Parts: sequence; C-alpha cells; structure tokens
Amino acid sequence: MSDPKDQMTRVFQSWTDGQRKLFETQMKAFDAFTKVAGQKAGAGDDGGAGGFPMPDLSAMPDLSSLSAQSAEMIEKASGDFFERWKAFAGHWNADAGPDDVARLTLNKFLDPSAWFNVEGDELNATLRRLVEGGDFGDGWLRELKFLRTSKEWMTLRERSRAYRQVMSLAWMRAFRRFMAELAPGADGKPKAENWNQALDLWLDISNKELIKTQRTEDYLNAQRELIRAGVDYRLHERELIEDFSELHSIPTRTEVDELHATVTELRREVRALKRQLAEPAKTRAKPPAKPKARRARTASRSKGAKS
Amino acid sequence: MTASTDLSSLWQEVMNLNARGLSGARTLAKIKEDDVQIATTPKDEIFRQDKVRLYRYRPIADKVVTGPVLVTYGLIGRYTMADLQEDRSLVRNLLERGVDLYVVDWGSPSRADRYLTLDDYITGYLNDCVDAIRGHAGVDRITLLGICEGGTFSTCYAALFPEKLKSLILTITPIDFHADQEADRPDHGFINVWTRNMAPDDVDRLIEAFGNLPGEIMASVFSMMTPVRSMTKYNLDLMKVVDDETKLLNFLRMEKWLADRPHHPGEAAKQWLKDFYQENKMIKGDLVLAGMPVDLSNISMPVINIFALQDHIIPPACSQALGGVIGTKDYTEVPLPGGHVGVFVSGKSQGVVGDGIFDWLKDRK
Repeated sequence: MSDPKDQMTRVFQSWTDGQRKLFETQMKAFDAFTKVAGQKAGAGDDGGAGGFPMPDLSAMPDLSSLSAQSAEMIEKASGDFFERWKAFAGHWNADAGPDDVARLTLNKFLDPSAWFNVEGDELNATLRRLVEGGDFGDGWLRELKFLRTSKEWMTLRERSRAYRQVMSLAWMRAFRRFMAELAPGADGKPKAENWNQALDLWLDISNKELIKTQRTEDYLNAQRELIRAGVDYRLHERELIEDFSELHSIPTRTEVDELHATVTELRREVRALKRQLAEPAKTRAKPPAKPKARRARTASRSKGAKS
Repeated sequence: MTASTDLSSLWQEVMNLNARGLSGARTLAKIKEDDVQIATTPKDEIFRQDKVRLYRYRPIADKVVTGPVLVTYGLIGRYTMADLQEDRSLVRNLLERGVDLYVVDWGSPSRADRYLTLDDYITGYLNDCVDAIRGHAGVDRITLLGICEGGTFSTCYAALFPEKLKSLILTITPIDFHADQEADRPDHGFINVWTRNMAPDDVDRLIEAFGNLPGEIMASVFSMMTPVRSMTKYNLDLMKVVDDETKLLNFLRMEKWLADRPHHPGEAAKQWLKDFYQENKMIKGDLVLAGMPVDLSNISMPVINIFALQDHIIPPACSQALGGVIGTKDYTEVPLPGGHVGVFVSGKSQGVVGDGIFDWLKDRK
C-alpha cells in the first residue's frame, strides 16, 4: 500500500513549493507595479487582444491531414507547434504583472512536455515507477544492463513513442483551439482579457481534449500496448532475478507465492471448520462449498488475447 | 495586463497576494500531521479474523432506535471515507439519529493476500461478520449498508443469504457494469472503458507481474478521469484554500483518505475486473461464488439505492439497473446531486443522506 505519510509529505512539499513560487512571484509583481506606477495611467495600451501577444495562426500545420500512423508527419508537425509555442511563451515570459501566478501556471500547463511524456500520464507514470523500481547494487548492474538491451526493453521504448505520438496530436489540437479562441471574435472582444481568464480557458480546452482523447481507439490501443510492454518487461526482469536467486539459494518469488497460496488455502479450511463447529448440528451436514483454489501460474500469455 | 490598468486595483491585487501568502505560511506552520485525523468516531472491535476487523460504533444518541446496520466498504479505498471528519460523517449522522452502527475494516492486504478471492471476502469474511453481529445484537437479521464496491459485495451477499438480512442499503454501487455505454457522457465511466479495453489475459498478467492490483494503479486511473483537476490540485486548488485553516484541513483530510489506497488482493482483483467489469456476470446471472450461483431475484428484502447524478466513477445508469433485476417489491431509488464521494463528504449532502437512510430504516422497523 502507498504510505500515507509519504503522500502527506508530498502534499506538504507541494504546498511549500507553491508558497516559495508565490513569494517569488510577488517580487516580480512589486517590480511590475513600480514600472506601471512610473507611467501615466491610461497613457498607453499594447494593442493586443486584452494585452496578449498573439501568434500567427496561419503558419500552424493543418492537423486534419495527420494520423496516428504517420509518425514522421506528426513529429514534424510537433516540431512546428513547439516553435510556435516557444515564441508565444517567450512573449509571455517577458511580461510581468500582478496576476503572475496565473501567467506562470498557464505557462507551465501549456508546456507540451506535460502531455507528451509518458510520465505526463498518471497511470503510465505509476506503471513506470512500479515496473522499473530502484536499481540493485553493483552486483546487479551487469544483469540490469543486459535487461535494458532486451527485446522487452526495446518494445517498452517503442510503445512509449507510440503513446507520445497520440498525445502529441491531442496537445496540438488543444493548442490550436486555444490560440483560435484567444483571438478577438466578430464583436472584436477576446475570450480572455487577463491571465486568469486565459488560464481558465486553457484548462477548459485541455480538459475536454484529454477526456475526448482518452476514449479514442488510438489512445486506448497505445495505452494498452504500453501496459503490456511494461508488464512483459517486469516479468522478464523477474525471470532474471529468479535465475540469480536460484543460483544463490535465495527463495524465489514463485516459491514465496506458492507458500502464500498454501497458507491461504489452509486459512480457508480453518474458517470452514470454525464455521462448522459454530453452526447447529442440523446444518453440519451441508458445509459451505469450498472456493475454487487459485494457484500460482506461469507468466505465459494465452492465445486469443487482444493484441 | 495593460498599462491602462487602474493603479489602485493593481496595488490591491498585489496586497491580496501578499496577504494570502503570509496567511498561508502561518497556517502551514501551525498544522502538524496529527492535526489531519480522519475516522475519529469512537468504536470497539467485536470480531477479528485474519486481517479483517469488525467494529461497533459507540452510540451517540440517548437511545438506539434501529436494528444493527453494517457499513461495508470495498477493497478499493477504505471505509474511513464514511467518517472523514466530524462535520462530514455519514457515520456520525446515523449515530446521532439512533442507528446501531457497525463497520467492517478489510485491513491492508499485502502480497501475502494475493490468493484471497471475492468468494473469501463475501461468503467468508462478510458472512462471518454478519453472524458475529447477529450474535452480538441478539437478532436474526441485520441491515447491510454497502458503499461502492462494498455495495456490490452486499448485493451478492443479499442474493446468497437473504434469510440473514432485514434490509439492504446501497450507495454509489455498480450493478450493471456496461450501462455506462447507454449514457452519452464522455466524462463519465472511464474506468469501465479502461477495463473493457484490456483483454482478460492482460488482467491476469498484470496481477502476475505485481501480485496484487497495486493501490497506486487504481489511484492513477481515478486521476485520469479528471485530468485537469489532477494537474491543478496541488497548485491552483491548494492556493485557493491555503489561507483558510478550516478549508485547508478539509483539503488535507481528503488527501489523506485518497493516499490511503490499499492494494486489491490479486485473485479478487481478477474477479472484479474480469467477472464484473468485463463480463458483467452479476447482472447476467452468470456469477458463481463459493459454488453458489448469485441470483439477484433472491433479493426479497426492502432495498434503498442511493446514487449520485454526477458520479463520473459509477455512472447513475450502472446503479439504477438494480431496480429491474431484484425480487423485492419494496425498492426505493434516491438520486442525489453531486459526484461520487460527494454523497458522503459534501456539506450539502450531510443531512440529506443521514435523514434519508434513517427515515427509510425507521419506516421499516
């Protein structure tokens, strides 16, 4: 079980980090105030949509021609989008204002790496932690190096890449929509007039895009394959560990599992006997049916599974 | 922000930020881990077997006015959600009204519990707990109050041992695991989609690799259901409550409950994911536990089914399916506004759920 104390420590750590950033932000805000205070109120406007530096939407790649299968096109399109994003974020970074918390947060959430990396997905980040775990000491390094050139490791990397492509497309769709909605509408009014509104807009768009993407066949396939690759890697790792354990007369996972299966079965029998003893004599003739024993099994994949 | 911004409002915003930061820092300095306690309502252990513990809550009301009611949570998450804090506690709400309340704690299963099945939990541990309460309270029949997966366990139990139950209370309980497909809600039922997307063999290999269904995996799947909320929780959301000690403590208590996510015993997890989520065996009448078929038409006692209209984890249609398959004529549905855990922890639902259950019980004394 996850250790609640660790989790709480992380919460407090996040909180403390947030506090530190807040105070750093305040320093910028005070600077901004000083700058603004030095100008005449109402003397100027930067002319953008509510003060935002707007990117050139026409130069963005067309997403409709991309598919999850055309890896090269996606990578090229991703690169183009990244450049647009960097330019856009650059403008923002040059700005500073009292609502800097929203600006900085929006900047962070807009960062495509939060979506593209396998670690950006909660489940896959968890799987990766569980699968890879910590490395052993020196004695294990040789085997570990071998493991990380194995077919399972290569497959895991490949599936991670496929997953990243699906998420790249999702981020590009969200970012394009965000840019389009930031632009002033027919009435000349932009949807967001300050950083807080821009942040809310991005969160709303990205939430809808992520939820929609999670239900697409491309996403579900990519994630299932990634989980399979992670599990295969973990089981392959276990085989190596068991070989090492057997060589050094250390109990293997399989042996311990067999022991646990036996103890579980014995406990079942004890519970059934206790119940029989406690029940009135008239019902003793019909003891409860024993649950089907589920024993340790090998790690081989059965035929007919989805692939 | 443009240069034309009014200077006084600009200054005010800076000052507000500063005040919030300072106040938050003071609040943080005061809060210790011991301040973040959950499930504090006093209770006494009356039975134990292996890692399972059965408790009876100490009565709060002058007089106990109902028969025994056993709160049954599932193996995903822990029963402490029903008693999160003093002013957000279904347990306290029921005790204050005079309900004789018990709770089963499944403990914290480890890899050593990998081979425990749902047969063990439902026809073994839960059955033993019911018998222990019958003996303790001196009654033939009790009421089960099932929550989420624990509601499904309770439903199976009611179908297998109807003679031991006086009534059945279900809250946010999945019955038809494929009913999510009926509703056009892309933000609801992702766990159903995610589970169906795996082949049965994928489930087997996942359990083979980890021994149990790790609590971390289920926590991650839940987080994926609200992707942006998960991204903003520890920054934007936390900043909104950081200068209010009461709200911050509420936030931290919920985090404590969320962090305490036990591993689901491996074999039981296989059954849960494959037999229930993938194959939907219970509502189809194909489920067999401990050699006994689970026939929902055997459920002849009064049943109240409470579900949340905005429940993204158990979509309402998955719960409502119960009405059409059970044998009782005394069936009540209570749809509540709000989401999954909101039924238990939201300020608005506190009196509503407690009163609703108590009044329903009282009418069936």
